Amino acid sequence: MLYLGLLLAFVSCSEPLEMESPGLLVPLTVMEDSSLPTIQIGDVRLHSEAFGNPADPMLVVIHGGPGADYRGLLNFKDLAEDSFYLVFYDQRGSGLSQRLAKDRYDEVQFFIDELDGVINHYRTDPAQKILLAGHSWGAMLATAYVNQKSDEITGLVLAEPGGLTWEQTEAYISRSRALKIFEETTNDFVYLDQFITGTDHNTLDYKMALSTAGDIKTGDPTLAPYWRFGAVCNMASIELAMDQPEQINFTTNLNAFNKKVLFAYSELNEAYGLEHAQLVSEPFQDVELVEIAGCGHEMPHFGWNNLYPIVKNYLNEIL
Amino acid sequence: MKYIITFIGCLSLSFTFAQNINWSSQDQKQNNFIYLNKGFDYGLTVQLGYAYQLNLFNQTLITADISVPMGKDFFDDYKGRLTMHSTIFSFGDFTMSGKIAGIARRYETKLVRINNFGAEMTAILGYYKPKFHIAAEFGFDKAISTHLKHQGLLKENFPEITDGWFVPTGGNFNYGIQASKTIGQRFELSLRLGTTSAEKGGPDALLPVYGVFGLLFRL
Repeated sequence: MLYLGLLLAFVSCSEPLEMESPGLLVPLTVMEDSSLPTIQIGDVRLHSEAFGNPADPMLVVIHGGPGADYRGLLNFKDLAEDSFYLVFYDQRGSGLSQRLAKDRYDEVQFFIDELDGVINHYRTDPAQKILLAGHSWGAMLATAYVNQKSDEITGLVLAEPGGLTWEQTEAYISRSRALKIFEETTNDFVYLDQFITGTDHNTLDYKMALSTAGDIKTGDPTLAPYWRFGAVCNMASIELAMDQPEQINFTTNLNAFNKKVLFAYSELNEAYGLEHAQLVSEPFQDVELVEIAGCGHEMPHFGWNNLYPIVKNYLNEIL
Repeated sequence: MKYIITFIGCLSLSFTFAQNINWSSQDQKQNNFIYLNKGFDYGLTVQLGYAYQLNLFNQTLITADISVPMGKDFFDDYKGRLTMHSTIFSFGDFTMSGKIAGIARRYETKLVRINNFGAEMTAILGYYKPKFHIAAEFGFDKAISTHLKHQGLLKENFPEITDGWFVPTGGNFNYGIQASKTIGQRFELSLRLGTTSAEKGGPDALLPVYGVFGLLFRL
């Protein structure tokens, strides 16, 4: 009775809220906020922006995750001043884009087709040169696209793709997220499960954000800025990779891509390093491996001052 | 400090959830118990508790315990429970019991401070002999009312994020087995093993299992 009395007293002090309510714990998506910049690709509404002259060579910037967003990659906007047309988009179920059911992630091809749709949406001329810049999972997706459409892409900037096969990716993930059982981080990760469960996107995305509280093991001072994680996208994609690892092999046709690739890895991400960079970049015919000094995995945000001139030189070189 | 408690727990082989009590080994003169559990229960935790046996028409225990997970920050996370555990009926050596617990728990990271009031209900059906018992258990833990106070990067990235009381915020079922072995007149070693699943078919816990060793001491 004492417990129930305390419980009622606490709850009655303020109007109780529901985690499922939009906008309370995570930002609204394009489905609820009509002021957000939006494009429609197929039946999916994506949060997307473009900067620069639409007639310039187009550089599509692809975020990581799966389930992260492009907020931490916005430094790439600087390249709009260098005569590039910068395109950003949040992938399906990620960032501020539309949320989808789990079965809408059960093929990597969905992400590849979506990227193709984004390119075609912004392309102003069939002769316009298209370049891709991907970070982490985004670099994997960029490679997957090139693996299928090598003739479409003029240049490729990859920033620490986990791997181009599931075996490589799994090895990297296990190094970058190694948990020790007595660590605060480990228990912070699992203890939360008794406080919050749910089936709706607002709750699950919020819970995913809370789960990032642990110590960063990829050489970054903290997480790069983000709008909203996509928990279902993330969970479904991981399940897909584990159940069908053959879908995560983006090397099968890379020998058809003969353009130079810029492959960046960070100085401070000990889980990555030169050895993994050499392993992952091996299928490319012409690759420039570059270590970005003074930063970790989130180099497009925390290491931009060092990454920017290298990317700019590379883009100018290949055009 | 948590490491010290863990170490003490290891030295004593571990201790128990009072719910693991062997009803058949109860002595009406022994009304006071202390227990210590160690194991995995939404984290590697150590739990210290006290139980008092009421001499009602059914055997009934009132218990109070607190558990903390491992980590360098002591008491940033904890779970305290006040539980009533009572036999419901017996048939030969088989006994059905039930327990209901009020829970107060806390969780804090650099992103959020969470305070929660919840409740837990469990049904236990077991085979009880004076020196041992084995039982199956089924329970439900509901996070009824949860206060969220956000901080750090979460607040920086989304300044409009809402602090306050949210109801309800989650629930997990648990299914498992438990067993105990009475040693001498005062000690009882026990073990609980099982699995959890989130309510409403939501994603399960990252590690949806529990396993707790325990030692109960009769004062």
